[in-house]
Amino acid sequence: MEKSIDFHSMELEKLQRAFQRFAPNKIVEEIIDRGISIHGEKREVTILFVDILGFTSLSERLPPERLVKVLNGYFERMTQAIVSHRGHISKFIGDGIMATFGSTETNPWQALDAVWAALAMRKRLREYNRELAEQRIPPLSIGIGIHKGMVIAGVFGSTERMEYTVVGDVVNTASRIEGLTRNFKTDILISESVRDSLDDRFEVEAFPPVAVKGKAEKIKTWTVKKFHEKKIGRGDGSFQ
Amino acid sequence: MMKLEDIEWCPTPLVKPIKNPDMEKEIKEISGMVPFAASYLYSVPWMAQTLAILQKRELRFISDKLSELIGLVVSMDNSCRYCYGANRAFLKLSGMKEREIRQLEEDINKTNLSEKEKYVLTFAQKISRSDPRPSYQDFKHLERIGFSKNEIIEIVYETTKSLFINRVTTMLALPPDPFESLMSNRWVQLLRPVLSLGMRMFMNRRKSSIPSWTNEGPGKEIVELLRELPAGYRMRSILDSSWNSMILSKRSKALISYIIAQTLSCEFCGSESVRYLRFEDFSDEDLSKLSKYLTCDRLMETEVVLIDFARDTVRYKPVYIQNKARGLTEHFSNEEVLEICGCAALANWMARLTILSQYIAGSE
Repeated sequence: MEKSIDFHSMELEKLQRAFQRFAPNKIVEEIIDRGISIHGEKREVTILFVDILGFTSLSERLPPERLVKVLNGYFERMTQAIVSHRGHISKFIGDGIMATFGSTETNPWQALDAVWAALAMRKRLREYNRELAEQRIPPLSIGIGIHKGMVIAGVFGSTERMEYTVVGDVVNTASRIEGLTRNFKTDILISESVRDSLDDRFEVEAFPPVAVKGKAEKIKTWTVKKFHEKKIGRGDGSFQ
Repeated sequence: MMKLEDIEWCPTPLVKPIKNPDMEKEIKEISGMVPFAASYLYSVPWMAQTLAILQKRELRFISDKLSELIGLVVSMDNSCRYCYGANRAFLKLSGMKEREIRQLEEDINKTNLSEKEKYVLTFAQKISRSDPRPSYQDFKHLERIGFSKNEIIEIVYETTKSLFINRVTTMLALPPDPFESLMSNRWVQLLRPVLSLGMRMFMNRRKSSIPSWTNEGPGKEIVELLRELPAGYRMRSILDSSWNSMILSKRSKALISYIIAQTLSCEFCGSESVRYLRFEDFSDEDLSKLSKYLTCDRLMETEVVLIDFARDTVRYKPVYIQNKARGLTEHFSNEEVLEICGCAALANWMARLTILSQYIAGSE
């Protein structure tokens, strides 16, 4: 009996450790308590999708072991950029990443964080491409789409496989915006709700509204060209 | 909640311990002993004094056991290696069995604790996380299961004071308290009942008489809610000494408090910070921009760094916040970094303590 209890304790520990990195504590506790989480909540979240452009042709050109190494190096750097700006990796989808900001805990500045993360990803990719060039591997190009809105957050799946993630129209729209980066030949595209959360330190350029699959109204997007660090203030409203 | 052995922690503390006989003497006068962590805080006197104050057991309404359980659960929730280990060792010294502690670590609801105790611990977790903040109904439930108003106030105080200590010791990456390793000593295990009794008697000794005190200064309205407890006087002296410390400017302290209040949706702390920032000539436009964009024309470069750090003290993984605290040394002196950590921990404490105002207002 004691061995059985110890065995179940170990199983619970494993589950707890596995989930702790991916879900809020209350969700983990609910799963441990009931075996599944029925917790679902509506909350405002910022979603970021990123994808590698031309991945298919790259995968045909590189031998498998090299491709895995290149891809994992890319994932590591993008993940660091996202997590260091308070983002949460929701899932890896092939060569793509879906990240959320404000999904596991309230974040009043989630859109700012998401755009800063995107700019950090741009910078890190540039650095990574220099390393790849030394190994004579072609540079990677990415497309990032960011959108903010109300989603349903919760644990989805079955007892075989479950994940804490978000669902809703906002997620689909963010994915469509990421797809539009190819049309507009830019690497970062944001929606109107994200644009409204940014101040004038962000240099942005508007693109014409476009129709996308599944949406009745055209979507307005902006590319983020640059972030200008604040002019250094003296603390009294004047500047150096 | 992380288990003790799973908590990742920076191997070296942010600051080195220092010797300061005068401070040691003062700390001993306050709490009767010098806490292990105090020597890391001497360069910011109010922080060392606060630790000594909080080390004293001055419970008036709730039991020692409940206070100790709250300390453990909140430390676990905040993944504070230092406090979790120390609290765990203390509970074992008090007689709690390893299996009981393990059960508590896995699932509060599956322990042999009373239903009242279990509810208090989940309530304490809610305060610690504050996402969302406990509701008025959560307080009413405490009343329904038999807690008096003063007991509830003391529960909230004990919870929020724990998370202050958690943050200070985490941000500084303090090594485990030597007390922790005592429990593996065979003699300690043998003499545990006697040692436990002695420890309790020491901590509950001479309940110091509280002098008459006036309540003026930051957090006045919230401190007033603690008037019936020794905690009220202690809180007043902690807030005053931190506010009057000359290491960081009051403006910096107000900015730290403002950002943490915004993150935790604490209207009281937000309003108080705004009052002070207006005194520093922050206009309505400055405050609006700060609230929305984390910047305004009036901010200095170092204050942008300060704000960014303060945000991350609300909810964090230990190694992440420890590395961020280390990053502050590029912009601030060691004393300033220490005080930034202290002020951020204090702001987190106050912003969560203010839920008492919602409870008291609803009860009147």
